[in-house]
Amino acid sequence: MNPSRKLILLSLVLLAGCAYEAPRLQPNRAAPQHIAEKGLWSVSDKFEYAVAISGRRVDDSALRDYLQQTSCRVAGPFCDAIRTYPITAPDFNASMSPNGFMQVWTGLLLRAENEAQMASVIGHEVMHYVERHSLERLETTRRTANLAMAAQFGLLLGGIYGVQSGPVSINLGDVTSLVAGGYLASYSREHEEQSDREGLELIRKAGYATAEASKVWQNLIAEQEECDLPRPAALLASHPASKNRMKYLEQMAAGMSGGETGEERFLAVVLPHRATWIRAELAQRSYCRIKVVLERLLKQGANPGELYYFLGEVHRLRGDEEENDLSQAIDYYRKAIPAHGAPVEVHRELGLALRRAGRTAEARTAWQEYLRLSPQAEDAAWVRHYLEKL
Amino acid sequence: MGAVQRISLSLCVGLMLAGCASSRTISPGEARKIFGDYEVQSQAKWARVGFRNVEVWTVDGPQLQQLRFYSEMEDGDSLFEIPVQTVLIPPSVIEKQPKYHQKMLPHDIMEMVTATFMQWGAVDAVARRPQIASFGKRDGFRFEVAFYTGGGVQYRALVLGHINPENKLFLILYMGAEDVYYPKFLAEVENILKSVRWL
Repeated sequence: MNPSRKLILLSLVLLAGCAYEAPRLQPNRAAPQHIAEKGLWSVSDKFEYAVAISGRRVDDSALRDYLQQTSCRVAGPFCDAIRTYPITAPDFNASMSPNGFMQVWTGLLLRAENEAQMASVIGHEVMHYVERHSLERLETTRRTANLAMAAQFGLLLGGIYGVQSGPVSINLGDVTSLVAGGYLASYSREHEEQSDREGLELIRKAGYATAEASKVWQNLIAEQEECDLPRPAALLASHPASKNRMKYLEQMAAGMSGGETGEERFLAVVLPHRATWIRAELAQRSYCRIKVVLERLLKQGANPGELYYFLGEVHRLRGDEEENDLSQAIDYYRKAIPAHGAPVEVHRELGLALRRAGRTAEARTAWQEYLRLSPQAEDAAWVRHYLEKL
Repeated sequence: MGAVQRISLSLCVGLMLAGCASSRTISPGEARKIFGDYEVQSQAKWARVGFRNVEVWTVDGPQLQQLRFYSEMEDGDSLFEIPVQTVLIPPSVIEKQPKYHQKMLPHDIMEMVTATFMQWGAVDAVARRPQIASFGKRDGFRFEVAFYTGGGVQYRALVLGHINPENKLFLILYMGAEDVYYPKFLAEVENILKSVRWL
């Protein structure tokens, strides 16, 4: 075995001793006991306050109550300790702070197809709280950093300044940082997997269809693959690869049957917000991602007119001539018009796309239809002005 | 980092690069030529800094209120250009900024402004009160945008624009914290908008 491999192996053996395991939280526990945990809670309390008064918190009590009720259903005896906030952020994410403060991003709510899918993410986050993963990560990081520093010091005293691997010479500091970073990432991946597995058990107990959990990852994989999104290197990724998650959740769910998806309840709360959330995603100009999401939601079937309208918006705003975007936008707007849920603005946007494509007679008809359907629209004067200038 | 902080940062970086020489004040009553295209008259004292095709004025600081004058925006131009890369503003924000296109109409400009604010971190940016307006006695349009910063501070913006026959966009954008700094100079800004005179 060459010296570099020996050094890395020795480091990994030593690092294994750094792992800190905290006992699970018990329900109705009022305050943290561990000194480091007190610090974590204190920081989290301040963070929670900042988020609670920030502009990012969705100001809708029905949505917030719904998330809180779902969290309670999933968290069971930990219900009182969990506070769930919907946060305006156009991406798929949720997070849990050590003090029980949970954020669910609107990008996640947009992408979930039903309550069971949303509950599976909430269950995952609840288990981070119950298993005290933040404290474990903090303590393990501290111990690992101490060990890495001691190892560097010891090796320097021993006259070892780096390792040679073939023609490549690597600095000692880089080696220890890489090994420690890789170890911590793998430790973090263990936490994620544990939360996935235990979270799935939580949603099963809560009466949800567990098969929905793997679909969350299946949908994210489709988004990543179709849009060629960058993924972190496997060694340093803090989360298990989406495909792994999908597989083990699928396998676990295969042994569990029954449960509800809660789709109707979920859509009743989410649909009134959907257009706002899609607009926020469109503002990011990540056209491929939002298109994948819209096409998937279209298969689900709720308010297809709204989804066709936004597919038209994706193409009109991108406006790439090589991709024939204007023509595609026009097609989508035309599909939206007879479908349920299309906003009246579809006629206005159809007019904008047609006019840009040089089809002025059709643009005139579209704008006239917009004014007929919405004569009191705030922007009616602008549209009349366009008609005069055509 | 919040929307207004990012926009202000882009201004500061530009200011540093431009050097102190380009930073001046506007005196009350002074008629100021904007890139030789149009002239505006101010009744207050403003600090100003100019870049490639935008001039920015402020009284209390760009985070609190700023008045931006754009001239001859062309295909591919964006509202908040940053001349150098900085770790504080992710490259994705710079690359994906909504850009002006010569076939745009006022609705497109309104979407471009709103999306730009949102991409720079504004929350719940909503455009409202679209109107036909005069830009130095030429056909123009105006609208407002309301938004929150990530920290929860409410901001408002007022936009007056004109697209010339060569499809170049001229824009005046006033924005500020809604509670104090936006209304503080709103009357002055309205007078500045009325004072636009083509050269």
